[in-house]
Amino acid sequence: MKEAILYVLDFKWAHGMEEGGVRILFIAFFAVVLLFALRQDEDFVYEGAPDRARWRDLRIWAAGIMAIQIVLYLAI
Amino acid sequence: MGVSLSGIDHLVFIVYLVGVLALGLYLTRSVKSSGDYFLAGRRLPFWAIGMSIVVSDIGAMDMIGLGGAGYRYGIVTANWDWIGSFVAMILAAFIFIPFFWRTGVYTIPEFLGRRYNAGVRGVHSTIWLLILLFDIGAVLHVTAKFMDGLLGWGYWVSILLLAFVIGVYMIGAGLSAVVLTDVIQLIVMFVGGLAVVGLGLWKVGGWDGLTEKVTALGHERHFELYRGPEEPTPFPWTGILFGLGMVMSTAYFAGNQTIVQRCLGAKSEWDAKASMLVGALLKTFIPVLVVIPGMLALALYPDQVPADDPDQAYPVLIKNLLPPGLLGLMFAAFLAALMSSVDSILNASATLFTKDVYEPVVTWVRARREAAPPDERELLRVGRVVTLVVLISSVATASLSDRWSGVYEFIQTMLSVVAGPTLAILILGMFTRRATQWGGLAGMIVGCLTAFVLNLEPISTSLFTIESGEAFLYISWWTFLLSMLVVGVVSAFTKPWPEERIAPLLWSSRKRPAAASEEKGR
Repeated sequence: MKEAILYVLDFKWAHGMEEGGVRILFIAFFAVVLLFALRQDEDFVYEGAPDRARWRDLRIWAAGIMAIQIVLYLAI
Repeated sequence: MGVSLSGIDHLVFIVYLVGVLALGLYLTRSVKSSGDYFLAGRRLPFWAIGMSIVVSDIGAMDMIGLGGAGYRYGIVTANWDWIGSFVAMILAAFIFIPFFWRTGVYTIPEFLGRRYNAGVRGVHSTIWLLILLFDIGAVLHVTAKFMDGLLGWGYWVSILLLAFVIGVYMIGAGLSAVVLTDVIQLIVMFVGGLAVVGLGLWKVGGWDGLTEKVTALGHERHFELYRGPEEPTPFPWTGILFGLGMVMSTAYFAGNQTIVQRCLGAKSEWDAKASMLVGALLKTFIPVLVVIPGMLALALYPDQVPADDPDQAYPVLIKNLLPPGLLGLMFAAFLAALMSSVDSILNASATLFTKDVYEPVVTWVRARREAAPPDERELLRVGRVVTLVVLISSVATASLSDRWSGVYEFIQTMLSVVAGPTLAILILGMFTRRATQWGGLAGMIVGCLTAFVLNLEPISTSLFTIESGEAFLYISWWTFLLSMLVVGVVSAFTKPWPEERIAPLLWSSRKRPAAASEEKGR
C-alpha cells in the first residue's frame, strides 16, 4: 500500500522516462495554454482598449510569447 | 570578497539613488486618496506595470542565488523564469487579472471574501501578511550583509540608507512610486546585466566558447533543460512541470498581492491584461541576465569561486570583468533589484492591513455605534502610517534573520503552503457557481494544513526523493488537487451563494460589458 502511494506521490511512474517523451509533455502543456488564449472572444480581448487596432490583439501577443518558449523548450 | 569602487562608480551609484528619490518625491504630489496611494489612482499604463512586475519579482539575492545555481546546475535553472512564469502570466492575463480589475478590489483576499466569505479572506490575508512581514526583514538583512561585504559600508549604514530612500518615496507616493521607480530600476538592471553577459561572452569566445569550456570542465549536462526525477537534482522535470509550471507559478502571478496589486492600478482592463503579457516577454530574458553569468563564471574563473559557496559566482564575475563606471552601474542594478522588492512588499503589506484588517474591523465597530465608516482620507493616513511602522519594525528586526536561519525556510514553506489551496479556490470560485463559501473555507484550511505537515522534515524526506528542501514543488501540486477535492465535497453538501451575488465574479460573465464595475472601481 505504502509503495503504491509513493508510486503516485513521488512521481515514481515518471522515473526513467525518455527525454523525447518529456519534451512532448511540456510542448503539449504549452499548446493547450496557447489554444486557450487563441480561443478567447474578440470583445473580451479588446475590452477596455481605446481602439481595435491589430497590434492591441492580446491573442497575438500571447501567441508570440508562447512561440518563443516552444522554440526554447524544443531547442535546448 | 571586497570590491573597491572608483570615483565614477560612486557617481553612477549616487546619480541613480538621487534620481529614484527625486521621482518618488515628485509623485507624492498626486496622491490625494487611498485609491491614489494603493492603486495609483488607476492611471498606470501596461508597459510600466509589466516592467514593474518583472523587476519586483527578481530581487538582488535572486540574482546572486540564480547565478550560483547557474554555476552549479547550468541552464536547467532557467526553468524558474521560463516555464515558471510565462504560462502563468498568460493564464493570469486572460483569466484572473481582468476579473480582479473589473470588480474594483484592492486585494486578493478582498476578492476571495466577496466570492466566498470573511473566513477565507481572513485566512488568506493573515498568511500573506506573515509572509510579507518576515520577507521584508530578511530581504533587508541579506542585502545589507551583501553590500557591507562588497563595499564595506557597514551593516547598519547600508540598512538605514536603503530604508531611508525607500521610505521617503514609498510613504509619500505609494503604488505609483513603486511602479515608476521600478521602470528605472528595470532599465538599470537590464543594462547592467547585459553588460556583464556581453563582456563575459566576448571574453570566453562567444556561445561556442562557453559550451566548449564548460563541457571541458566535465559539466556537459549544464546545457540541458530537462533533468529526470530519479536524479539527485532540485529541478526534476516532474516538479518543474506539475509543481512549478502548473501550480506554484500560477498561484504566484494570480494570487500574490505584491504582483497583482500593480495590475489593479491599470488604467483600463486591457492595460491590466496587457501588462502581464509584457511581463511574460521580459521574463524570457531574465535567465540571460542571471543564469548565464553563473555559467560564464564557471567557464572563466572556476578557481575563484569557492566549491562550497557557488553563490559567489556572480560577484566573482563582475569583480573580474567590469571596468569602472559599469561596476557602479552593476551595483546600482543590485540596489535596484533590492529596492523594487522591498517597496513592493511594503506597499502590499500596507494595503493588506488597511483594506483587509483595518477597514472591515473599524467599519464593523463604527456600525455598532451608528458612526460613519472610514473615509478615503482616513484610509490614506492609515496606509502611510502602516508603511512607516512596517519599515521601522523591519529595520529593527532585520538582524534577527541572522540569528534565526529558519526565517528563509519559513518564508519558502509558507509560500508553498498557500500556493496550491489559493489556486484551487480561485479556479473553482471563478469557474463554477457551485463552489460554496464553506467549501472554499474548508479547501483553504485543509490544503494549507496538509501542505504544512508535508513540508515537515521527516515526513517530506520519507515521501519524496526530490533533493532535500525542494519537496515544495511536489507538495504544492498535491495540495492543489486535495484542495480542489475538499472544495468539491464540502460544496456538494452546502448551499451556494445566490446567483446575483456571485455572477460578476464568474468566468461565464467575461463577455458582459465591464463598464458598470469599472465605474465602481474608480
